[in-house]
Amino acid sequence: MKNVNFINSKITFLLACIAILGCDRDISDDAVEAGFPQNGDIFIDGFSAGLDYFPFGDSFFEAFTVDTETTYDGSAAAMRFDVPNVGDPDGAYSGAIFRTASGRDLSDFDALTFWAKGSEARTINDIGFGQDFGENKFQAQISGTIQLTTNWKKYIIPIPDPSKLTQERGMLWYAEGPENGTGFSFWFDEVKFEKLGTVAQPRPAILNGEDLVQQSFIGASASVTGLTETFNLASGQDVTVIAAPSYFVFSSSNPSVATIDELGVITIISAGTTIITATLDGVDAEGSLTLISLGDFTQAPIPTQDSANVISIFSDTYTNVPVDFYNGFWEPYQTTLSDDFVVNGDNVLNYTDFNFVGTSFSNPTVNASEMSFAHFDVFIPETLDPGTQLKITIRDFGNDGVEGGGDDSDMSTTLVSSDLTEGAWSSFDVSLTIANKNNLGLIIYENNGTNFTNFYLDNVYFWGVPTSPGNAAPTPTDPAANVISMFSDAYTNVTVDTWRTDWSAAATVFEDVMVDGQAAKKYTDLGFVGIETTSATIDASSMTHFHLDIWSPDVTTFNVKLVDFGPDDAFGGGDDSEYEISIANPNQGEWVSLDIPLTDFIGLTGQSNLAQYILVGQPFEVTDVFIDNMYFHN
Amino acid sequence: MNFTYKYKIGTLKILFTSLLTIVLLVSISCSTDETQTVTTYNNLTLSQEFDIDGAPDSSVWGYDIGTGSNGWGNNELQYYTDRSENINIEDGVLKFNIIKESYEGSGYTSARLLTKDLFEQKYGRIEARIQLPWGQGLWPAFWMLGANSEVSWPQVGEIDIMENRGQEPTLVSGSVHGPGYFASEGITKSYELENDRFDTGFHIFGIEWGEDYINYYVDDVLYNQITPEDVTGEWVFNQPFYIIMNVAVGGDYPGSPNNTTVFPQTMLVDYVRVYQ
Repeated sequence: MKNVNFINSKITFLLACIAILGCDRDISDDAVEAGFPQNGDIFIDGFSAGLDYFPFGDSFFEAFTVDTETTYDGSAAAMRFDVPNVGDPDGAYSGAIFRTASGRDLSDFDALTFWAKGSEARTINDIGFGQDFGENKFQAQISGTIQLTTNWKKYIIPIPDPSKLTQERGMLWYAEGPENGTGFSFWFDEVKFEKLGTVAQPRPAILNGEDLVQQSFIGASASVTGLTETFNLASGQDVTVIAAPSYFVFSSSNPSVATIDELGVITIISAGTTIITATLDGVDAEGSLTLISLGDFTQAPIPTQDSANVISIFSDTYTNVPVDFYNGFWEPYQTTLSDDFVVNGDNVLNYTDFNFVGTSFSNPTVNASEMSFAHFDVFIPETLDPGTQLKITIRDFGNDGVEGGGDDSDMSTTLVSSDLTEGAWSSFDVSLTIANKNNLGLIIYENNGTNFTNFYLDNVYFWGVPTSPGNAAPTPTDPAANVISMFSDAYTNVTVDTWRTDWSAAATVFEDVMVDGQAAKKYTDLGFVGIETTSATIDASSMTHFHLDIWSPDVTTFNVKLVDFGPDDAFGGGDDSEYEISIANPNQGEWVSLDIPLTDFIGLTGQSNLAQYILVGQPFEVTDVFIDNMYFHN
Repeated sequence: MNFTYKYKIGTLKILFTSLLTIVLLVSISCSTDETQTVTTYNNLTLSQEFDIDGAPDSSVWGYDIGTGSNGWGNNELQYYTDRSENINIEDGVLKFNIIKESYEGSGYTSARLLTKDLFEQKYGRIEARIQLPWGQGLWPAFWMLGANSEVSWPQVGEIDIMENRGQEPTLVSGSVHGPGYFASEGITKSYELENDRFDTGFHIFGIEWGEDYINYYVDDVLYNQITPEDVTGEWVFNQPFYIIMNVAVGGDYPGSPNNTTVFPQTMLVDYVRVYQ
């Protein structure tokens, strides 16, 4: 903020000059000073005392200067604002607040007025008052309707309710960016609050004057937006000011259903119906919100996939990728509206008047090459018609990364009424069978059914367990002295005769692989595989545990069987013993460290001549399993 | 009444043809122009205070109903009724309610009251205290027509005490129309309210009318005098007139309402008083 200080010091210097020139004003004899000063002047022939310039953090800091050449009516000075061109490294736009150090009482005025002109005819994005980098409690502005010409013209910004401005600090603020790539300059002069007496016919509005009906739930919160007030000026023209919530008094017709606070934030507390309305300075605001609370909200099932294996488009469980929009409002044929809501912190998409709607996530596109499924949770809030059909299309934008260009690919799936449940969530995991999935950019929902107008959507994400581990198994920490290792980079290994006996399941393929720079064994299509140390059986009688790290994208049950050849140290002979331990539902897509007490191998009566180790995977001869760090320890 | 001579007395025509008059006005501030006649009328001949709820006094007020011919000659859009929806007394004021509705082929309804054959008077002070409606295309008026039914307009004479375009909330006009000076050729002058407007509070609109002069005032400001010298035809105002109050919608004078015009609109009349 160094630049800000520099600019402030310039203004202070200017103010000092003005004071020396004797432009300060005496309080008239009959004025009674009470409360804050009733000074409406902002910039007449220079700054009114006590005013400071604070540019917006990301704006062009040097945008504002005091101009002594181009002024209104030949006055001593005017405010000049320079809007940068697109790409200006000093700032993308021009914008600032002009704030007094202590408040002023503006309650006897009815408008902020100023003369202005531009170096060319442009429309200013925002001009107003009440922004103080604090609460901005009584902020008001005209947005997008103040059209500057190249001649000086007077502009009027009515105060929504002057009685509120008894200690206002935000005297003036503005924001204006380049248009068509280029900046320009504009000037303000004779900037002040005035009592015009002709600012009349106040017409406040909430929700932009519309009467809306919205379904909701206990715990949901929403805000009343679209807050404006329209006045008629002496010219006969209407002017609409955007007004902060604190100008309004909000009310809920049924506070037991929902309450609304002074900032227009609604909290729903029970089932029922309430109507939210507002007044401004005693005048009823146009527009209302009829809230139909359906009671408790059934949250969508919380996803359980490991976040490492998920690319999320819309979910509160995961971090979502950048999404362009959840509703593109595609013209001219789309009717679908969005009435999204938040219940107890859970964001839910709510599509109404549904014919079709799209979610775009193309900046950047999503690389789902490691993903196998698309997940959707769908809730049908209204009567589920037997003819309901919800078609979901997933589109890949191809190598060019943009829609079209002849390299896009699509996949679609259609959910029908029997897939869905009225008044409940249904969860879907759709296989990503799309031709390309490394540049996914769009999901389209289409209504191909009858009497289907509304659904909620949550937990839209792609997921998939990778087919091979991305990182090495954890390095064992057991001291080498306590270990008899068959396979580990951490230890010296004993001789293993074979990692796949010829009596293993026919489909099962064994290979030595490297994972993240570390050796591992991979069994593709594992049914069962035999591993043998018959030439030198292992005496694990002093060991307490069998250790094995496994990694599989798809195994649902993993078994390990140890066989001891007994005192004869040979297969058969009546002294062999064995035991098989089964591990159900090991986590997929991550290294799972099995560290099994040898005492768990109940039938393994001998542990001095271990010779065979059999690994079994379910589903049989389908699953792939990587193993590492196979050893005994105590 | 004590008038502030905010505007120079006499029509523009007088001022421009009499440099002496201007010099006098400038040098003798706030004094009466030598050419102006002011008579004070104190004898109350009609007092309509609108204090009793319901319809206006039928012994004083009649109605024009319908659309006249060609929108009362001005392409006006409203249909005048005598329904209580359009005209009623409530809270001590007479309310003209201008409604946007389909009615008898018109898009708007309003009301027009007149004292024809019920109260007619030659000369006097005629004033009403009124809060105007507002918005593009509204045309409220407080005016008079000559009572002589043997001649037609404009020969009969018209005195417009107050006319306003709803899109000009700070401006009213006072005019006369007669033979050779009617419609857009009427003799007229506007008065602009400073730091206030006519649709946010009550203002008094009146004339002081005597032989060969009509003085126009708003509140305590006399802003115009019209005499036979000002009119470009026969002076037809030395005879009895009756009073009319109405709110038109659209027509040649204000133009049509548009999407900024708020309906319903209301003109409130606190009183009508006539002195002789």
